[in-house]
Amino acid sequence: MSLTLSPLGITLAVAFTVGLAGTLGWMLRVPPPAPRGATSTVRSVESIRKVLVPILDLGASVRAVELAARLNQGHKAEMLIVDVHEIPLQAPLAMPEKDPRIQRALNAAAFIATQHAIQPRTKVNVARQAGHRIVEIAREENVDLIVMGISHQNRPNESPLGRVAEHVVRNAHCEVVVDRVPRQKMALIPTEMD
Amino acid sequence: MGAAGDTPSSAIGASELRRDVSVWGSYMWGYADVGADIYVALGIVALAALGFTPLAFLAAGLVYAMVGLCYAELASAYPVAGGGQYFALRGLGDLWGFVAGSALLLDYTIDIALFTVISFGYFNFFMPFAQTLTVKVGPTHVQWFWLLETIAGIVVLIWMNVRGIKVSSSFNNLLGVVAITGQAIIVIAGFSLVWDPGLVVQNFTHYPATLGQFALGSSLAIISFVGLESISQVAQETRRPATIIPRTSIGLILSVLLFAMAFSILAAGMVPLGQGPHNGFFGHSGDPVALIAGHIPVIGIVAAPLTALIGGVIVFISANSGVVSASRLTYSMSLFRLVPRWFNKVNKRYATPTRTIIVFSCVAIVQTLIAFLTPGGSGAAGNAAIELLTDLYAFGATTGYLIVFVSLITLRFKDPYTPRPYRMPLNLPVTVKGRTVDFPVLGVLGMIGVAITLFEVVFTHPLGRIAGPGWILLCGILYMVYRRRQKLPALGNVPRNWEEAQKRVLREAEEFESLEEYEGVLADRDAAGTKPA
Repeated sequence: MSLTLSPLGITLAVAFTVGLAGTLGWMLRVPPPAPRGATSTVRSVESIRKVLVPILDLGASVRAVELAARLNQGHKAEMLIVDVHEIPLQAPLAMPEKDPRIQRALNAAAFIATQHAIQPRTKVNVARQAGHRIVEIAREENVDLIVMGISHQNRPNESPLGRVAEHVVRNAHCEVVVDRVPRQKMALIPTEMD
Repeated sequence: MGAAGDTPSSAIGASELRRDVSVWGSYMWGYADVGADIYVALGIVALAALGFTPLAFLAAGLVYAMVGLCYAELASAYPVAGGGQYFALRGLGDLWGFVAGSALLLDYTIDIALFTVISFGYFNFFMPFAQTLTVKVGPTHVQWFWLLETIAGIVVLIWMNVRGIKVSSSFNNLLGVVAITGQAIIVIAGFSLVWDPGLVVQNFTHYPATLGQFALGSSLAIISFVGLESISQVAQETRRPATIIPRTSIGLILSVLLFAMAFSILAAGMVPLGQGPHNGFFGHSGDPVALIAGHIPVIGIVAAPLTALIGGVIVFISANSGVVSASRLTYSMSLFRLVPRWFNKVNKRYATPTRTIIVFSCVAIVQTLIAFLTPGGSGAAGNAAIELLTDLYAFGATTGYLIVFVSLITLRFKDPYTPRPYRMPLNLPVTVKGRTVDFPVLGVLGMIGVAITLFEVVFTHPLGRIAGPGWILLCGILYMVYRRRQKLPALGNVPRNWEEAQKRVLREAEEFESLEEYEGVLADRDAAGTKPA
């Protein structure tokens, strides 16, 4: 057969070469395998279905909601925001009159969650010791993760985590994340919600 | 149920197959099967679809791409031996698992027969007299020399497989590289040096195919894509199957499509594609790629014999993969009590499943004899033997693929918990009983495409429409008899613990990500109390 040089033929030959080389090149570049520890860690975080954010310190707790919402991104766990009001032993264990600051903190927390397309449940509780009640709620609600925000201002004789967070860390049945906000960031946290 | 050791979960878990197939190995498993198909199909399709040959390949290629994506999803989700038969068993139950298995078994036995015939067609390039040696038996001119060569070839395959002499994986991989390089050189040199776009237009306008011819051509073109399921057959031996199988499947789909389209367009621009003797492939249905290579100036004098040699070897290896696939399929079917355990007996001396190898290779010899004794030869292939074998090959493949598509759709609803590292694109979320399921739109399109192809096969292949369903019916009767004798439900299912089986498979495959995802989803389901009865 005689030689027939066709520009279209040469174009097709080039397109074929590029297509074949590209296909085989892509196929052979296999991503490295994930080690078992890594995959189980990723999976255990992804399997979180219910997050509890207790309101301990107003500003730091609102920040904890943002952290919890970000942790939650992509797998849409349920979020429960709880304010546990501590009642001294001398006073009756009854719900006090509405504290506008707590209500504003709950509203702010709920607003942050909805910004991440999460519809949180909010609860106000009373207890003699907030830490005990938080642990109880976590168990009752079958929570997978507790995210707590604490400020840097503890009493001198307390543990670095503070009394409530310390008890939760020690006694909670589930995973606990404690976010202690550094001093220099405290200014960013609204302590007054107005 | 049999003893504990007989349950499918333990049977799958107890697999002694080593996970040693790499990404290139997995690709070459598929390529050895599918890559050889173009050596077989090009001439047959060109003789049927005439000037519309590239369009016939395109139509079949689109269906094939969807079949490939379907297999990629299922094989990466269920990385066990058995392929289509296993998917049908999981999705549709024992009876359909058996029907899919028998259709694929037909395919594998035809694979042995057809590819050995074609392989010697290529080797006969060096002995042009071979095809002229005929003897008249009744109304048929039997090409006795070619027939003897083929039977001898199948006997060699039986001997190799019984003795456990496998084509070594590295030789297979090396030959694959040589074949791909050789094919690529023919395509590139053909397009650059000799391809004439004017001839493509001339073929298209002067020799248009009628609707019937096009249907026949596209239904034959599907055989140039058959064999992709080989990747799923070795899924149980593939390293990191969830990662590798989708990649090799997509790589194989694209590269085989590229070659099929390139060769068909190249052929349309190099040889006339008219009726009968006016077709460049007339009398060359046994060695079409060598014919193309021989037409290329400069390299043709070397390329033609080299292509014939490579073509002959790679097609023979493809025939060997038919023997291997048939034995794996029968092994899987006997595990699930779809065929008697008798087939699984391993030879003590050679440690090979001798019975399966001999029985199904002998079936292939019978098919070859029937094919060579079939009168005719003026049809699409210009050779009655090749025509009958391709009819059956197309029938078996399309029937098996249709059932696999139905299984894919069913499994999305029936088993939404098994992680699917790869999903066919185009899914529609639908809520069924409070649960969101991804409905595979492309899967439905693929199923329709395969159903149309099967209709074309039944409609346009006079031999295939009788022999194909006849095979399935015969197998079905044997299945009913066997199940009744074993006191197993003939139409129902043997109860199995699929979830445990799936966990073991994923654990063995070291697909920890999928395993953890699976266990997590099952735990959620159990906690929600929605476990199916």
